[in-house]
Amino acid sequence: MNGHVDPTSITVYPDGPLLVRGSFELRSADGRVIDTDRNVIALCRCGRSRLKPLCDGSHKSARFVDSASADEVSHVLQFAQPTARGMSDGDETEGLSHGEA
Amino acid sequence: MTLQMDSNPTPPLAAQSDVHGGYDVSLHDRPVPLPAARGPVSAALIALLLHNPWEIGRWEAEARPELRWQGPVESAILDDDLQLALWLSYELHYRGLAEVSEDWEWHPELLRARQEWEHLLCTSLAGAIGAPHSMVEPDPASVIARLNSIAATDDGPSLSGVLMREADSEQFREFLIHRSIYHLKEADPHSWAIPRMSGSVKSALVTIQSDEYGSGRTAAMHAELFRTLMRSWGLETGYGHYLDLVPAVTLLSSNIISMFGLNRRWRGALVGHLALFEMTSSIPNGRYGRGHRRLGGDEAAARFFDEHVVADAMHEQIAAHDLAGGLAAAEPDLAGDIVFGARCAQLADQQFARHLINSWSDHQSSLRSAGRW
Repeated sequence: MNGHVDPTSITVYPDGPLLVRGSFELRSADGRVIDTDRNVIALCRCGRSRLKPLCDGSHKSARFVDSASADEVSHVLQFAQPTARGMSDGDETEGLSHGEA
Repeated sequence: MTLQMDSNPTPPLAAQSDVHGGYDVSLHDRPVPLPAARGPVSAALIALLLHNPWEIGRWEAEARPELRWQGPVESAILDDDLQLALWLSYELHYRGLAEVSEDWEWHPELLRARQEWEHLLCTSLAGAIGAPHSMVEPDPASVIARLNSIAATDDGPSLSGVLMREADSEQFREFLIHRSIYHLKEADPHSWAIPRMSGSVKSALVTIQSDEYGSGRTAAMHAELFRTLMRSWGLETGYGHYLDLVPAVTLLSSNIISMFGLNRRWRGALVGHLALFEMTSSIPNGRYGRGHRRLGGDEAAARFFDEHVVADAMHEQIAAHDLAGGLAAAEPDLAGDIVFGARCAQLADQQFARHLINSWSDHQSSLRSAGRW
């Protein structure tokens, strides 16, 4: 290693989990390091996973909605307040129609 | 390593089969034994494949008449004869066919016939779900929204629900037999997309495929997890062992991905197919796993299902956003193909579920002729 490493990233997926990529250490609150050989992990964001902290896809049946656009995430980080849009949940369920040919 | 003793000229059987100088080749798949024909086209194909391809004596502009499938195009997707012919012609690119010359793989005579079969398959698929063009606006957000919508459309019968709650052990074994056609080469068809992608789309694809192949650990390869699962249910684990038993609808699932994978022109559809696979995998696999345990299935073997729940919950995001969305951004012209591929995956899955559930409701086996395993 020459010291130049991509930063670890956390991606917030719309209506879905957080994905952690890059070098990371998973710990319990008492500081114990939990072994994992996964290179990328998906962490539950909806609270409904049976495999917390990992995502198991339950956000779909839970109809978890959070568009997590860059603007919204940035707004929350800056003002510690949801955007007007973020406050009215349930408006992002596009794609539940059955409009197939 | 020990040296071979001269005093023991006949090696023990185990050494002959699985271990070569320290290399364990027990998991190396062998070419698939030729199956029984299912109609005139597959019969003609099998007869042809048994010849040396460069000595067949004729080489004309038109496909051989005996390799032409004559049925109505709308029945192409569920025709045993046509689906078997396609499956055999594709298998030449994977593990090969026993007793068949490897030179057939790229032989023009075979490719010409296959092109006609592929055309029929595409026409039949488009007839069932609509043509690729005009399926979606050519931008990543629209493509991702369409994929989400397809994944959320749940108008087919729930095979995972049946397996979780009520299937008996024999039905569960049937399910595994069907799935062995794909899962013993799990991920291979989608790997054809790797050399056709680049940049962030490629790294998204490789992130998924790397997990599929066990990230360098043979035993964690999904195909090997499936083999372990099959063994735990007392099934034969040889690659292609159950080919004769699976109906057209099972072959269709594999043939669709092979067609997309082996034709660069279908790379968008291949990506869309993978995306839908990943987006509709976690929850059903959780249910399969519960069904497996309900029926007293081996705990260690359940890892196949458990691993799919966790890995695919992560793959789903990468496949929809980074892979399909990324490809739609890089090549907007492929947006319609991406959605088409996803719809094809859904169609094949729904047809498969319907076949199993209908067979079982009629107290029939879902396999072609029961009792051979």
